[in-house]
Amino acid sequence: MAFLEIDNMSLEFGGVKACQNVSMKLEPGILYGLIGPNGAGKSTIFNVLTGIYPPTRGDVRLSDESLVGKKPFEIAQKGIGRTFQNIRLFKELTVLENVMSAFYSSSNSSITDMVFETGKFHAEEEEVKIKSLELLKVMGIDDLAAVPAGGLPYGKQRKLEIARALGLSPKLLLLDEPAAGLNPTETRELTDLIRKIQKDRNITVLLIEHDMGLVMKICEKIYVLVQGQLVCEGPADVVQNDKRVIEAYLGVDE
Amino acid sequence: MNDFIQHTINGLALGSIYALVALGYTMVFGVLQLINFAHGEIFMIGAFSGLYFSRYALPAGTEPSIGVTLMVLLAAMIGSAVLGVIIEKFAYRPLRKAPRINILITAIGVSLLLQYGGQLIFGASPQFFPTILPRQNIDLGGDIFLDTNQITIFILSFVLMVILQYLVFKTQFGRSMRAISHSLETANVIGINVNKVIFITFIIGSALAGAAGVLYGIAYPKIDPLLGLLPGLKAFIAAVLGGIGNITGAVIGAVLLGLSETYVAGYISSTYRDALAFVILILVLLLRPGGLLGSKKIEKV
Amino acid sequence: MKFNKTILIILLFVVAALALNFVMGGFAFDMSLLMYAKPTRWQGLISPYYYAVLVILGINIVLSVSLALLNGFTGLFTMGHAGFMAIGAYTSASIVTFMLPTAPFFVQMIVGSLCAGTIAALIGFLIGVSSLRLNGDYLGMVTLGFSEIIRIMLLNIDAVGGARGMTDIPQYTNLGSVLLLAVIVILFIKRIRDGRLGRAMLAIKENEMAANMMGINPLAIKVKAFVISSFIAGVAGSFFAHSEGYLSTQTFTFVKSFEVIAMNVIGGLGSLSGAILGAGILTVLPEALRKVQDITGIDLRMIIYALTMILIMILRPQGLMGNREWKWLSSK
Repeated sequence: MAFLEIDNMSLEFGGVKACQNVSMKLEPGILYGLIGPNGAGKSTIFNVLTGIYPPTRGDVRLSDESLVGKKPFEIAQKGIGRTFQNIRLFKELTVLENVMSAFYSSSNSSITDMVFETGKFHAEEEEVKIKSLELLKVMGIDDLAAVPAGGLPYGKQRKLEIARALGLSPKLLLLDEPAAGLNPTETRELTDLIRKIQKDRNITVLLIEHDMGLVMKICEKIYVLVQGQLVCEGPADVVQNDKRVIEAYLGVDE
Repeated sequence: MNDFIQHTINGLALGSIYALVALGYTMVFGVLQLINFAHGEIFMIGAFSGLYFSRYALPAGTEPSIGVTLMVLLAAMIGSAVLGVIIEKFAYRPLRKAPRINILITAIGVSLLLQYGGQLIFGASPQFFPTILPRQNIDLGGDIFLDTNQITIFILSFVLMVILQYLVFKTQFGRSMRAISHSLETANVIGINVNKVIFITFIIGSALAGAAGVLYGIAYPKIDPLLGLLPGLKAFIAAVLGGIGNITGAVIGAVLLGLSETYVAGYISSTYRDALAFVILILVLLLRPGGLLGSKKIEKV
Repeated sequence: MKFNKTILIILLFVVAALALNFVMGGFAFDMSLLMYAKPTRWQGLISPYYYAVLVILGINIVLSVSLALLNGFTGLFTMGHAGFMAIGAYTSASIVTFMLPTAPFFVQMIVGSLCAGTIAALIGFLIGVSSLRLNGDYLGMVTLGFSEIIRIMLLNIDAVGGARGMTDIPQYTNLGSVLLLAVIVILFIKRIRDGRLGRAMLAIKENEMAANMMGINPLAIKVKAFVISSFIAGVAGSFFAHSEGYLSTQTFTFVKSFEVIAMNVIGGLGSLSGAILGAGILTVLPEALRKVQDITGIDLRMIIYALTMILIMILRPQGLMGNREWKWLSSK
């Protein structure tokens, strides 16, 4: 049984077909790639998975439970974490607070606890802080914990977004172009990190990326999306030699 | 039934005054995304410009006539336009890049400044707006009276709105203004002089409010420096009702508001008249935030 | 233990407030503290006029800080704070005047302000649930609309005086109690800001979409902020009602809401210290300018006040504090 299943999903905006009959089956603990030319609808799939857009037709199931009609925050609480193509950090919060914010739904101190600073409040804050610092350490930015997130260099902002998403303890992690705008050294470093996180935590990762080197290197299975439709799926060598994929890239992309 | 016709006539006259003010709100919102809270005071200054012009600039003993009315109207429009431009240049332009709440607070500050400045200059107690228009009550039979003032108000507002339609839809300025309302960035990129267009928008919007001030003075001849507060707010609500940023919508919204206020005052109670506008505001925003003629926008993720 | 520390701080302030009241109000320390303070009885260190200004300052600080929770921390632009204050003022005035006219003043104060807060919070909840889907200016306009409707409804209730206003309300609000309230409210808001709820609020203000993706339910948090804020505004209204002894719906027009927004923005949106500072400036400035009026003979007060608002916005758009905090209010 697949852990996450997208079943014949279509999404239309007033006649424009953003996704057509997309079906995917993600198994636990595997690193997937999702590639395709610009405007193919890759981020749209993320937006459907996270509940931002309800699909026009079809179904999305996480561990056999339909996510259609669920609110974005409910889906996040069920264990789908994500990053954004255009980074969306809480810029005026510190790096540490950004990660701590992801623990909101898993902690439960009440307003009374907060106002009277009860023992429970302190214990919980302390625990969240330690866990958050750990995540920052994994991403190698724990030395910047007290800096406002908006002040971080670009590459570190990308890392912080991943750390924040991990704060949800997700079962499925959606990474939207994590290497966009990074230089080759940073990209290599990030590539290793993603693989390490995925293995260490044994989570499922679905990754959108334009950097083919990165995708081919770490993804165990790759989906190719062209004009809202899946045209090919399989391991790197299969995808690389698929005629439709080559056509799509030569024909459409820059 | 007779009552109804009488209320409808009164409501249309009130609605056309609201419309002139609402147009300024909606135009400024279109280009700057700013609720210009000082617009009600520009309207008030229009009324006072008209008052002082007819008191001091016209020779004593001038008989009321359409010609005089047009002159007073023009004077008020100039007075308000000058004020609008000054406000834009000194209060809003320095804040073009600031967060919107700052501009809003500034607008409120300007509004207070004009209210209290007005009390200082014009005095706080109400003054009588001079009779500049020969007035007759035409008996339409069955106790329905048509005040010639109401016809004049209606016709003059209509003419001004036609001129505005021409400016917005047929001239280079209008095209630029609509381009800016659509997207300020794009307008910048394609080489539209944004500051100039905003400047002209304030001139036109303020002039219309000035004209409305005089028409208000004709219809309700007791004016004071706080007079802009409530009609200003209601005109703004009319603009929201029609779909803020939408010029036709502002007129439709204003006429609907004018009519319904008159009906409520006539059939229910005048104390609830002022509440009506706010009830409309809430219903529109909760049920159809884009207004009657507005469109829905989807946030891009 | 931290819990005890909080109680200790509050107790300390109670003692300080009583002492302050004693010195400034000049009562005998016995029964009059438990009864009520009428302005005419003061023979203390400061004149009744300054005493009254300080009381208003305290109430304004409470209002400004409660609005900061919405405007500054959650990013909700609301223009209806005066409405919640009005609900609180009229609720408390009615309950105390009609139901508890002979009760000791501290009973009146506690029952009055709790009822005021509760009713304001309840109405805040209803308004919040229906309108918090809206964002930005639209939310501002809807809240302004609700606030004006509340005001016009109060204007049409004869039992609370209608257009004539409500008179003969027991005047028990004194400086000590107002300052105590201000300190409790400031600490309360500070601690909410520094806890997980505050982090969630700031996250929503910064980026609602991302907050959603972190499992935070924006609507629930916004409604919470709204309810807390209206509760406090209601309590402030209650203290206001019993300081003047007279209520008129004219006090609670949207101009009052703007005034509180201006306090936030002038002090620095997003800064708790700024909200306090802004309240201080906008309360003291018009009073200080009375002197100008005495000298020039004309009322320049409101004009200078309006000019100050405009100039601060143009010259220092981030407000006086920016997003910094005084040391005792910073989160570290």
